[in-house]
Amino acid sequence: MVKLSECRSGDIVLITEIDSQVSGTLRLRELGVIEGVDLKVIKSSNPMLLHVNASRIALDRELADAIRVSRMSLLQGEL
Amino acid sequence: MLTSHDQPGSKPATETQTIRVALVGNPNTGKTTLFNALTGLKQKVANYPGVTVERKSGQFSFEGHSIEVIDLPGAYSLRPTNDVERITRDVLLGLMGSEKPVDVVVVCLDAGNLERNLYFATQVLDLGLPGVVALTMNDEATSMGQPVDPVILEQHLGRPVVETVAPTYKGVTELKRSILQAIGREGEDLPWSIGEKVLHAIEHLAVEIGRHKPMERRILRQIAVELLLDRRGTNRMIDLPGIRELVGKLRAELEWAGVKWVESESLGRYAWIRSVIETTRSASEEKFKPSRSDRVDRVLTHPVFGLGIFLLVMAVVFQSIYTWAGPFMDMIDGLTAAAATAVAGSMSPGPLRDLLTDGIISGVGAVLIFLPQILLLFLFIVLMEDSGYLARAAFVMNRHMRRYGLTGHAFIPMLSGFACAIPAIMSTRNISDPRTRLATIMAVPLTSCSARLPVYALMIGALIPATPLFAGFTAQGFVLLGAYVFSICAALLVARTFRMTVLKGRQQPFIIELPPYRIPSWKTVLNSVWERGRMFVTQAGTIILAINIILWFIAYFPHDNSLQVKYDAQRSSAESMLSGEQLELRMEEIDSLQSGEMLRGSIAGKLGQAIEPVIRPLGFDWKIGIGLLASFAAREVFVSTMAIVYNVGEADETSVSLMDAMRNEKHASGERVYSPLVALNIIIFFILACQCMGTVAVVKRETNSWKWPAVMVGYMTLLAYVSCLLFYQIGIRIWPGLA
Repeated sequence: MVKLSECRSGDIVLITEIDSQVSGTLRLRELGVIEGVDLKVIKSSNPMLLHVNASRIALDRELADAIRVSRMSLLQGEL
Repeated sequence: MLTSHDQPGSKPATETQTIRVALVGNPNTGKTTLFNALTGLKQKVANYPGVTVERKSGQFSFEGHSIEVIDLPGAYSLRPTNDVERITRDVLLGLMGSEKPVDVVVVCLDAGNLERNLYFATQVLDLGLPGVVALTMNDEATSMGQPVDPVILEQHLGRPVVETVAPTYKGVTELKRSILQAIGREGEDLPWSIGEKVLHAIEHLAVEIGRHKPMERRILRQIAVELLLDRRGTNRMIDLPGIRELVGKLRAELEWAGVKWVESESLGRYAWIRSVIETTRSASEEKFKPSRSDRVDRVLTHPVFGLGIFLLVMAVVFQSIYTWAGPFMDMIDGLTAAAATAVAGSMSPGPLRDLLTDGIISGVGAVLIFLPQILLLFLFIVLMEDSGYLARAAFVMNRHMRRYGLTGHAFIPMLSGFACAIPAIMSTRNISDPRTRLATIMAVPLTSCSARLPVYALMIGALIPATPLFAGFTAQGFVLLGAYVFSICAALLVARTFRMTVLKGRQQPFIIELPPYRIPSWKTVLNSVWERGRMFVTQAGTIILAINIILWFIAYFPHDNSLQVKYDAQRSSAESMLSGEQLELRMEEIDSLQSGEMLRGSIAGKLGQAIEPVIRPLGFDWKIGIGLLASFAAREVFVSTMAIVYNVGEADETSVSLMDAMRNEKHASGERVYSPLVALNIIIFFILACQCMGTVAVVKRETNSWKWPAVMVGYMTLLAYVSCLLFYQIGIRIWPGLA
């Protein structure tokens, strides 16, 4: 498990945990960034740019620190 | 409060009553286009009380019924994070006193982004109001290979789903019919689950709230959900007796039971939404396939190219505002002067005529003169917003604006301020964080607007030598460049200072959706631009006009009639002695002598003399003082006022006679009044001081209080005074040759 902020552009990852204490995560949840959803990192710059469902969502890297993900490639390796 | 949906099955709206329909949806779902298609041009734009959120409504008749549609601001959730979303919640929940209850709610669903759109849609449908779902952009979704089946969606949602393609009016008639049929029909509960324990807590809280505020059960439940689960806390209901304590207790109980209550709503809704989508939309072959917008974004959001393109776009916008507005502003100027001349010619001389021509007509001109710049700036902003580019600009600029406590959204107002602060301040509405928005409003008037340029030109032309410095740069060019650099530094530092002091507070985290690029509909664009112009004229315009009349008054009274007699005598003696060109010259001279003496004797002239002890340490004399006071009407007035003060007649910033008069002006002690140091100090003063009543008026309008315009005038005056004092006092010691 890694922080979303550590992911590189092009990574496809699965959200495993979100720290709800961090402000802004509730809005992200409303936008569909929730546990169990997979997303693609379009840009790992600051702000980061994500592809979630059909949305393109930009967010601060600090906010991305609050999101834990599993890389899909690793996940597939485990399976 | 008894609303229509309290009595299922009854028809509350008879044929004589207007049916109220609320149109809601996520931002960028084609909601505004649908609104235009429903109501045509029968629209009204006003403000919701207490906030600068536009209230858009329109009317249409259908099958003998009169229907009012309220286009509620786009929202991602019923749990608001800003003023705009708060309005949507308050109207739908019936918490806004000025709005009558809604009979039917129409939810816009973008077929291309069903997951996220359904989140807000299910929140709205949970309110139980009679509802209709408008499925938009299904043509786009179909062309992407993911069409949505409206029939199956209807089965899931339990409300009529109407597919609409707004520009072609497809489905609009059917939507109108569905609205009529929906009246009085409460929607059934959606079968998603929030979890048994959380639900129990919600019911408990809803009952308690209902004790204090009797409301419809499902509305109470929504308020309870918000109070219990949303820690951002924007609902005043928490202040009802005992509710805050109960919320705390219920949360603690859930926590103790190991329930993840913060997550419960989003997890519950999205789990159900996923199951709905599985049956209504075919699965995509490649989940994260880049769209056309993604390919464009590779360039437009690039940290280097994206920034470069954005700066280029802004340069074009800024230059067009600067140059395209010019001819229109000249035209308005000319028309105002012509109207004043026409009125002057048809009335007998006296204070009433002067009030009409110099007070009222010139005041109306002072309002209208801003319109070309306002309309142009908003044309560009609305085009950028509706095409989707504005979100990219905010994305690219965010990192750079963060250093000053601002967000990417603050860049466009800051840059627009270089043309004119008034439209720039109006454009801060795109900033959702209230503190960031206020800090931007406070800083924008420091950016060097175009009205300051004539003052710079006069001061530089008259008093700064054209000494070559380096690479073709002269001292004159250097001072002009310096003025602009100084103003942007001052604006950014002031924004930062405000964010670190009175507007302190954690920056709201930056989260922004980059919507797909779309070609804006010209109707929607022109409509928004027109509304901005209209609101400026009717709201800020009235304040500007009033201040203009007051300024006229203090520059006119006490009107000494003996002066008129004295100068009329000079005129008639000149007429008897001179003729032809000589007479004309002499008459002009008498005119300028008279207006000079009258201004010096007026309240404004006396005030200028009264403030001389205060501005003397800045190197200014009382004549400059009059100019500073008069330039509060508009900065460029400084030039014409100085011309009147120095009896040089009609003059602009390139007038040689005015520059000569200034260069030759001596203090009683024989020292020159205008030195390069004084010229620089006047420029600094004009950068920092708040000498624009239009700005004051528009800040009052945008912040809905007199507090912030007062803070702005206060800090700018103080900043200008202290800076000029330090500059002059240090300057005369370091560079005595310049003094």
